[in-house]
Amino acid sequence: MNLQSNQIKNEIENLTSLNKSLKDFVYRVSHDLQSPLNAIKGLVSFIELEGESENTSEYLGMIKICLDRLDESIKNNLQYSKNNFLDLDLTEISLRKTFKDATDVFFSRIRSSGIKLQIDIDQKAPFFSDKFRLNSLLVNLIDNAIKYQKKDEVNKSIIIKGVSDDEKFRFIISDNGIGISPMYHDRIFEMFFRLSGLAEGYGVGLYIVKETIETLQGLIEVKSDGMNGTTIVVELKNFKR
Amino acid sequence: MSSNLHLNFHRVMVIDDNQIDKYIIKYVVSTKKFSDVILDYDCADKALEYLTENQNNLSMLPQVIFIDINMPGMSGFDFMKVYDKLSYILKNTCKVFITSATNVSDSDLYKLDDKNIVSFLQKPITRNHLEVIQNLVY
Repeated sequence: MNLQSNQIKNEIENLTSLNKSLKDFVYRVSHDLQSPLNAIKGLVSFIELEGESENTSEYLGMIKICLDRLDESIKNNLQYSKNNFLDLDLTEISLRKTFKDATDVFFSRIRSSGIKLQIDIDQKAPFFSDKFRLNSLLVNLIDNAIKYQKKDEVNKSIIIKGVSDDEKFRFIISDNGIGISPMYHDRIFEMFFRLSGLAEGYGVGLYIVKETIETLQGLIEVKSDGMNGTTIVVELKNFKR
Repeated sequence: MSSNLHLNFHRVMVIDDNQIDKYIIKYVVSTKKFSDVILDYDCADKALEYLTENQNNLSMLPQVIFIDINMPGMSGFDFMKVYDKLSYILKNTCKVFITSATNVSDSDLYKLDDKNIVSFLQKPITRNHLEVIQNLVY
């Protein structure tokens, strides 16, 4: 009897927390979508008001930036909702191939910004996890490592190293970019958190990363003195059969 | 009718990290000749520095402040907490309008209930908003 009421209590707690995260999610989606949409509305009203003028191409340029943001936030939200509302899909994963696929997405950006990328994955045992979530995690982390490089650095580099065994897969992604000041290390995984002056993103990338890592039963740690790059350490559970 | 009123302000302050949103407010303010000077800030702490420095200098203070809620570092609501500690002259001069792309989330609604906030405005800021503000302030 007692056991049963405990189970019910747990179930209610789970549902309450799921309900809360759904509410947050809806709020975030509407904010992400509405923010660029409202800006587009404003800009279109200028064009209506002025007719074609010397400013038109500037307005159109800004509208295009807003559309890119819309596009990006729809992708982000899709990723996030898949992570939150789909069950874990465990399969055997070739780690080397997964990392290659995740970095291939960035091939042209890595080349055009002159970043030297080094990947060293040592897979010692079959690794089981959720392929989709692992990929989303990697894409987010590598995207940050590329985005936050120092503009005037001559030897831009990203080093990825990983070792897997029966129990876990541990990897690091290390860059020599602008770094993250230690005072923000606790806050960077919060929803909407952005570092001042780098208002490029929406402040959801690392939030999605954290949520994904929790689902994969892993840990994440950030190491950076705020000047000499960032090292992200991730440890993921091997859901071996 | 109200759009013909030449009741413009001397100084208006705009605080928004989103450059396009800020551009839109500045555009509307300047085409509507709503203000002689626009004080333009990307973040709340820099704006607070200005306000603190000039809190007893009436001629330097903005009559209207537009501040966005979602900003990196200090949010619009964080700004309001510090703002409340500024001088009486300042709080009596500046009319604060808080802006956001969406309605305020349920968990933040109570923060709008602040005696220093005149009203909440949903972006994009338009000429109509400015007319409403003129009517409210004058």
